[in-house]
Amino acid sequence: MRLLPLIGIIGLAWLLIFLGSYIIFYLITPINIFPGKIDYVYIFLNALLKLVLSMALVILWIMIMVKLRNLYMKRKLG
Amino acid sequence: MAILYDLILASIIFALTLSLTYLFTLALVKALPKRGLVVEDYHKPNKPKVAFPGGPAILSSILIAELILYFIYLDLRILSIALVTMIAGIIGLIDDKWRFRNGMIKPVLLILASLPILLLGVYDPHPKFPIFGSVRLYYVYPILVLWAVPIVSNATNMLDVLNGVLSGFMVITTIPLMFALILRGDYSISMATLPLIASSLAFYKFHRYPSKIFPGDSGSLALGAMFCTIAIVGRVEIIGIVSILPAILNSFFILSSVKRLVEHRSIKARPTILLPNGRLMASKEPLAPITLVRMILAEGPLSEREVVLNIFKLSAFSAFLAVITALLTWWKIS
Repeated sequence: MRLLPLIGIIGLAWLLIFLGSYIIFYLITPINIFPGKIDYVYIFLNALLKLVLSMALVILWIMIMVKLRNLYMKRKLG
Repeated sequence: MAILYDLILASIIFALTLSLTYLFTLALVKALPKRGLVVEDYHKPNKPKVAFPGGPAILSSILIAELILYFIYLDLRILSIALVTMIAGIIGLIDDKWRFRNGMIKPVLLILASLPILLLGVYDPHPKFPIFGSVRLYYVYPILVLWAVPIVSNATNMLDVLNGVLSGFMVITTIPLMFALILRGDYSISMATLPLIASSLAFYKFHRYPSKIFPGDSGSLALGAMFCTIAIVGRVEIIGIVSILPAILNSFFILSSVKRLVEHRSIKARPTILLPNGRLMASKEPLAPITLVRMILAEGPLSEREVVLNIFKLSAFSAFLAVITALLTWWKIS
């Protein structure tokens, strides 16, 4: 029973890795907010947007992990 | 016939690495205390002196085995595994001898260890995910390689806190890697993975409770770097990440709780407290780093052996998830 919450954290981290990678590679990567534009500025802006969205997702993963850890420690140690 | 040849070679490599690590470690257990190379075991009431570092025994036996395999297969990926392990082990050896004071030096130096992977061009920037397959990371992948070796080797280094944890953990986490490589049909890298399991297993004999020797940074960095390189050159990166999750989460929780890149030796507030009866208790000090061991002990005190057993159970769970990941990635129903 002692390990059950920690197993839950590892299991959730595993699921979030796949969910996050799916969102990054299959939803964010194909984004093209300037269809038909071939100018480098538009290509750069499009790439920048994808980078920001992917980074936001990574930060969200980190925040979920930190929140879970803090919740666990608060419950166990007070 | 080819299968029989591979099985015989695998048995020879496994037995050779196992016996070399065993003999070298036995020699170090006897020789190091005579030269005064010992450290205190903080988690025991009488603070016994333990031989240190055992890394050279692990490093030399792994290098011998990998070089033999390189001359058999002439596969540059095996050479890159040997080179990365050697560089990381030497960096660890320097740290064991002189102690880096700044927490930034070791990760920066470990970037050097990842260079053989890039210079020999033994990576493929198309990591394969379960269910949705390969993705193209042409420009990003080399940058990820540069960071992967420092991250993984530091993660294994940070987990090396109790008797037998690191060596036992490496055995458990490397098995899914080996499984995935066999599933992929990459026999040369499967063969190159055997020395990691054999060396960790032989070292565990001396490292388990009560430890006769500690691996030191030379051992922990070399093992972590080797694991990471196998995952990269064997194209089983995702399996590697899942399998080593307890170590990654441990270092992530420590770094996010101390909020800076720091040498774990220099953290003043200890995460655990040693009770007079020899059991370990989680520290209630708010500034103490949140480690995996402290999280396990948060439920109540345990003996060192019990904590190690709990870490092995968590590692086994991660290894199970890694096997599922491998099956979802490569298993084809015919």
